[in-house]
Amino acid sequence: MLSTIIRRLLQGFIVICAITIITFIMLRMIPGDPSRTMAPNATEDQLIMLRDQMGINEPILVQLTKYIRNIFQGEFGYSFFQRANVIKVIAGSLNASIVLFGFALVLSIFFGLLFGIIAALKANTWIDKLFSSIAVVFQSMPNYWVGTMLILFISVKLQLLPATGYEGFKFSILPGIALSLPTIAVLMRNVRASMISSLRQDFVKAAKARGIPGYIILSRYAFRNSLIPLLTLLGSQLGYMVGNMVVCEYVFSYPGIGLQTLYAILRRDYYLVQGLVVILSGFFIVVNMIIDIGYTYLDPRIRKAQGGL
Amino acid sequence: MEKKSIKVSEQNNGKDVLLKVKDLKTHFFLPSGQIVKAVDGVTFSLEKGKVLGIIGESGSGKSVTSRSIMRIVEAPGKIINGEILFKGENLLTLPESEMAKIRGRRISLIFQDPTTSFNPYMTIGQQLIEAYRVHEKESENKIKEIIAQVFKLVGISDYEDIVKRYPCEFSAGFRQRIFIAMSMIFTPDLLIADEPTTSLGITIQAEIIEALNDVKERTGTSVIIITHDFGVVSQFSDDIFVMYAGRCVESSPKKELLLNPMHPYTIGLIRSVPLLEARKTKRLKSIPGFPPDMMNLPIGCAFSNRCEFAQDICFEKVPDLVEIRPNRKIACHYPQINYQTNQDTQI
Repeated sequence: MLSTIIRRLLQGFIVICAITIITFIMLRMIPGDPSRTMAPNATEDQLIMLRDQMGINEPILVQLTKYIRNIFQGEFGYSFFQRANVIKVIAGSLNASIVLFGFALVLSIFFGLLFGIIAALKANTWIDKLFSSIAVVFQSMPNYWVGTMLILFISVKLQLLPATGYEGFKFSILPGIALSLPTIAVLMRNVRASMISSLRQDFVKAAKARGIPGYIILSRYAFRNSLIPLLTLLGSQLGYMVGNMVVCEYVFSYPGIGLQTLYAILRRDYYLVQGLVVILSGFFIVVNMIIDIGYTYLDPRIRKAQGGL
Repeated sequence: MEKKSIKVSEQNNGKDVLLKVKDLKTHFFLPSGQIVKAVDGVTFSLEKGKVLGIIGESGSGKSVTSRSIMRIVEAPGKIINGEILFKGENLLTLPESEMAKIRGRRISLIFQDPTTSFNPYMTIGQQLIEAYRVHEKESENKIKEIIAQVFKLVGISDYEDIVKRYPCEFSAGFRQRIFIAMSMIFTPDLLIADEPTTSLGITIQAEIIEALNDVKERTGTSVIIITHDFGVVSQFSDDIFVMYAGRCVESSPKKELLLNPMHPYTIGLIRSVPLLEARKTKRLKSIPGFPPDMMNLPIGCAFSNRCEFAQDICFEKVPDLVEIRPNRKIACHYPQINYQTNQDTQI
C-alpha cells in the first residue's frame, strides 16, 4: 500500500514537472507582452529596461533553467501586477476558493445522491421522470447564465444574499449553488442508473429472500455496489468543477483561485500562472490518488488482487 | 412402487402437506401494455421431508414460481391469483412484515449462480451473522457455533478461516456450499433450490446435489429443486412436476414419470437426455421447434405447434390438468398412456 502511494506521488511529481515546462513555453509563445500591459505609455527603450527587470528578455530556455533553479530554492517568482510573491498571492485567494469548492462539493454529493436514490427507488414513476427531466435541464444550463439569474433574482430582486465579493460564507452561497447545479444533475443521473442496476443484482434478490429489511439492502447491498462507478465519476466531475469554478468566480467577482487564474492569463502574469497551474494540477493528482486508494478500500476483490494492504 | 404411491395419497389427504400451491398466476405487465403470463395457473403440493423436482425449459416459469412462493417477484411482475398454503397458512394474504419473518427462516431460497449471489463487499462471516440477526438477536459466539454446525452439514470443517474471507476468494462450487449452509442457518421447513447446479462444472454439480441430499437427510427439510436437467431430478427427487409455458403439463412420482411419461413434452425431454449406454451412432432426439414466445402463446395447448401427436383440438382448446391415475396428473388432449421410455431410449 505504502509503495503504491509513493509510486503515485512520484508519478504525480513527474506530471507536475512536465506541466510546468509546457506551460512555461506555451505562455511565452502566445502573443501578448506583460511589460506593455504594465506600462502602456512607455517608450520602446523603457520597455526593454522593464523587460530586463522582469527577466523576460532572455531566451526561453535560459528563463526556464533559472525558473527551475529558483523553484528548488523555494522561490516561485513574483506576480508582475500584484507586486507580491506568487505564494503569498495564491495563499491569499486559496481560502475563498476552498470554501466555495467545498460547499459546492457538499451540495453536489448530498443532493446528487439523495435525488438519484429516490429516482432509482421510484424508477419509471412520475417522480423519477420529473427528477430526470429537471436533471437534464440543470445539466444543459450554462453556469454563467445560472449565475447571472441567481444574482438577478436572489440578490437584486429579493436582496437575500450578496452577489459579489467575499467577506464570509454568505458570499459563497450563490456561486456555490451555481457551481453545484450541473454536478448535482450529472451525479443524480448516474446514481440513479447505477442504483437501478445494483438493485437488479442477484445478491440483492438473495438478500431479500433472506428476509433482510429494505433499508439494509439499500445501504449495505445496493448502494455499496454503486459506490465504485460513482467514485470514478466523481473524479472526472471534480475536473469539470474546477473549470466551472473559474467561470463562477468571474460571474460573481469572487476573489478566489479561479479569478486569479483568469486575470493572470489575460495579463500574461507569467509566474503567477505557473504557480496556479502547479496548485491546480497538484489538486487533480492528489484527488485521483485518493480515488485510486479508495477503490482498494471499497472493493475487497481489488484489494485481494493487489496482495493485501 | 405401488405401496409408496398409496402412502403418498394418504398423506396428501392428511396433515403432512407442507406446501400447497393452488392455481397460482404471476403475470408481468410490461410498460408496452403486453402481458407475459409467466406463471399461469400452477397447482402442486409438497409433503414434509419430500423433494419435489420442477423441470422445464428456460422461460417456462420455474423461477417465477419459486419467487412467487417467497413473494419476491419484481415489478412489473404481480401475483394476481391463487393460494400458497404453507403449513396451512396462505402466504399471499400475510402482511409483508409477517412474510419477511418467513423468508430465510422458514423458507430459504438457493440461487443459480453462487458467484453473484453473495454480497461481494462483506465477508462470509458478516453475511452469515447478518442472515441470522435479521431474524433473531443472539450473541456472536452463539451464532458462530451455529455457523460451525451448518458448515459441517454441507461438509465444510474449518469454518474459522472461511468466515474471515470474502466470497471472491472461493471457487463457485465452494461458494454454493456456503450458500446452502447459509440457507440452513435456521433449519427451514422448506428449501427451494433454483437451478443450484446450472452454473457449475459437471463434477461439482454432483457434489452439490450430494450436499443438498445430505442436508435433506439430516434435517428433514423439504426441498423444491428447480432445474432443466433430468439428471438432477432423477438423482434426487420424490415427485416431478413438468412445466411448460407457465403451466403444469405433467406431475407424477419420479419413477413413474421417468419410465412412463405421458405428456408429449415430457417424452421429448426424456428422449433428449444423453444416456451413457446408448449406442454412439444413435442421434439424440431433440424436441422440434423453439421454446414458446411468452408474449405470443398459441391459442390452444402451448405445446401444440411442437407436438408430434397434435390434433385439431390441440390448436383450439387449452387442455386441463386432470388426474388420470392416482398421483398422476397430466394436461394433454392425447396423453400417451402406454408409452414406455425403454422403447427408444434403450435404458
